[in-house]
Formats: sequence, structure tokens, C-alpha cells
Amino acid sequence: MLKLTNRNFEKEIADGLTMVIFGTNWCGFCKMLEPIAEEFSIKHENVKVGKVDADSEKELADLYKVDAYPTIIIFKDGRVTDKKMSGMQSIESLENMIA
Amino acid sequence: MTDIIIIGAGTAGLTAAIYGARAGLSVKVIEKAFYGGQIISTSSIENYPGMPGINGADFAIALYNQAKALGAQILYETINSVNLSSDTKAITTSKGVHEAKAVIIATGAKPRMLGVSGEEKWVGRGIAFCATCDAPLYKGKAVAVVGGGNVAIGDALLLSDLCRKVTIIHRSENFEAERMQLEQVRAKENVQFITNSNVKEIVGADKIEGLIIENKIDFQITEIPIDGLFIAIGFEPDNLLFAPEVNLDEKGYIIAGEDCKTNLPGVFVAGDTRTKAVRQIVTAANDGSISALAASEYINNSVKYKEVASC
Repeated sequence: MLKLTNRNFEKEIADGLTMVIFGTNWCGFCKMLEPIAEEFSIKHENVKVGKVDADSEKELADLYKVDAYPTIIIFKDGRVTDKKMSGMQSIESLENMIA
Repeated sequence: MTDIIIIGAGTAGLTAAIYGARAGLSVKVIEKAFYGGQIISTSSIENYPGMPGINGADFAIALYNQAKALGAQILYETINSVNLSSDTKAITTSKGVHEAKAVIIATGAKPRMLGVSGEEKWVGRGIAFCATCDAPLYKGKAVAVVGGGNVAIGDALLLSDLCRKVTIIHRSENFEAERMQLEQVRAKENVQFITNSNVKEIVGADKIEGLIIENKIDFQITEIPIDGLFIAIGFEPDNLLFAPEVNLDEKGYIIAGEDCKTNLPGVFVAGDTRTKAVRQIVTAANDGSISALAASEYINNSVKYKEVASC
């Protein structure tokens, strides 16, 4: 999964759909979401999937009002959309975010 | 039709999926929330043979990946009703009907609530059941832990490193927790013990602000200010969906012996939701293997019986 930081964030989300997962390395659900996000990524090649470490990238987490982990946000052509969810998700609920 | 439907994706359910898939059977696992079960709230598993100290989430991920790699399908659906008495078992979910030759119930147990009016509305908004998951959200704040067992004391220890103040509230003055861990908690300056007491009320408007506590001996009422409440008073089964077809005991556990066979042919039960003396990760995995192999044997015998009957 693509690692997103303050440095590459804007460039990576600039085109098309990007699913950004904000998490931390101490959060169990964030880890558990990874195999599901990988599966989603394989099924949906048109959607870029990236993760942000909300501890080391606090500025990004604050900018997008992340107050629970994991938080998943869909970006389209560089802009944040209203598709935002928190907590552990199934692949179906990730798919619903881009439907 | 699927060979085996497994209800629940905790340790027992995913182990059953691994054994079922390795026996060459088609396996569907139906889970209402997320895979892993209770184990995901454990930061460090110290008693699973061969892997001391493994993180609960890492353990769950390994089980999930192993079951998926072997071909088990994992579906996230809520079950509305079941028909388990016929030869063909039917499970009706929010998304449709799934049919199977055999069913393994591995629904585990859910955290027990305090029984205080209105507490449900605070779940996830101030009430938590998993200190490993949620402790960092209460950094520098005041929290209470209700309970006196290993989970409660372990939670209090973890929270005491992050929170300004931790209050342990227990209904008795005797703690079931291991003595070493209890002594570690007692040595912490920011931990307060309130014993022989019950939580009577959760106070707050938009967020939890405090608890009203009653002493069981002198009935004195006290109020403590808190920002978060961790409930660790055990677990209870959630099997009403399967009754009365499947026999439950008076506490709601599914009645079965070590062979994991319920009162219904082709219906098996695995893990914490079964009547048993020891509820541990290793016994959940044990049940997962036994139930899947028993289901495999049941399916093979049913096929043989049908072949003989048609001769």
C-alpha cells in the first residue's frame, strides 16, 4: 500500500480516485484493515489506495479532522469528498464508498 | 450449496475454516462485525503455545490470511434467521439466503454491559471495551475501569501509563486478577481503587462527564469526574438466534461436549459460545479443528448414506 506523507500527499491524490486510510501503528483495527484494503486494491485497480500514519503526519490528520482510527476518506482529482468512514470495515463497505 | 457455513470469524471460526478448507470442502464464514473476535483487544498473547507475546491483531490477521489463502470465503453479513433442523441448513442474512450441508456456530461472546440506564448511547463515545485499542484516545485524561479480573487490571495498568488518573471500580474487595499484575497497579500513583461499589449512573450531556457510584456496604453515594469508561466485567454469549432449535444452557451457551456436536445433526459449535470449563484462545482453536473435522465426517457419511439409500 502506498505510503502517504505531507511531502507526497497532494501529488499522489491529484488524479482520479484515491482511498486514504489514516491509522497508527498501535491501532489493532488499522493493522486488521490492511489485508482487506489490499484485497480491495487488487479488485479495484482504478482506485489508488494509500495510508497515512496519523502519528507522524499529524498535520494531515488534523487537516482532515481525523479523530478516530482507522479513518478512511475518498479523494477525487485532488479534492476531498464527503465519503468518510471510521472503524474497521469489510471489503463491501469500502466498495460502497466508491459506488 | 456450500459444504460448511461457519458463523463467526474469531479464533474458533477461522480455525474451523482452515481445517474445513484443508479437508477439501467449500467453506463460507459469515461475520457480522469484523474478523478476529475477542483476541483483537489483547495487546500481547502470552499463553498461546509457540508464539509468546504475539499481538492480538497480528494473530487475527494471520488467521484471516491463512483461511483466505486456503479458499474460505469470508462474508460480512448480519444473520436474520436460521433453519438448522433440515438436512439442508439455511441461513438468511441481510443479503440473501445461504445454504449448507453443515453449520458450525462460533459466535463467541460479547462484552457484558453494566446494566445502567442509557449506557448503550455512550458505547464508542466514551464507553470502551478495549484499552489496547482506545487507550491513546484518553491520553492525559481521567478514566475509570470497571471490573476486578485480569482484563480490568491489565487495562488499568496500560491506561495508567497514558492517563492522568485511573479509577478502578470493583463490586468486591477481592480481585480475581493475577497477584503480580495487581501489585503493579497498586504501586501506581495515579491509580485509585473504589471497592465494594457499583456504578449507578453515567453523567454527561454531549460527552461522559462523571460516574455516580454506590458503596454496597454503607450505601454512600459518590460522584467522580471522568472522560472515559472502560468496562471489563466479562463476556456473555449471544445465541438467542439459534434457540429453540439448538439447545442452550441457562446462561445462553450452546450445549455440547468436547466433540462439539449440538442436539442437531450437522450442526456443531466451537469456541467460547459452547458449554465448557476453560475459555482460552487455545481451546477455541481446539474446538475449531474438532468441529470442522466432525462436520467433514458428517458430510461424508451423509453422502454415503444417500448412495446406499438410492441403490
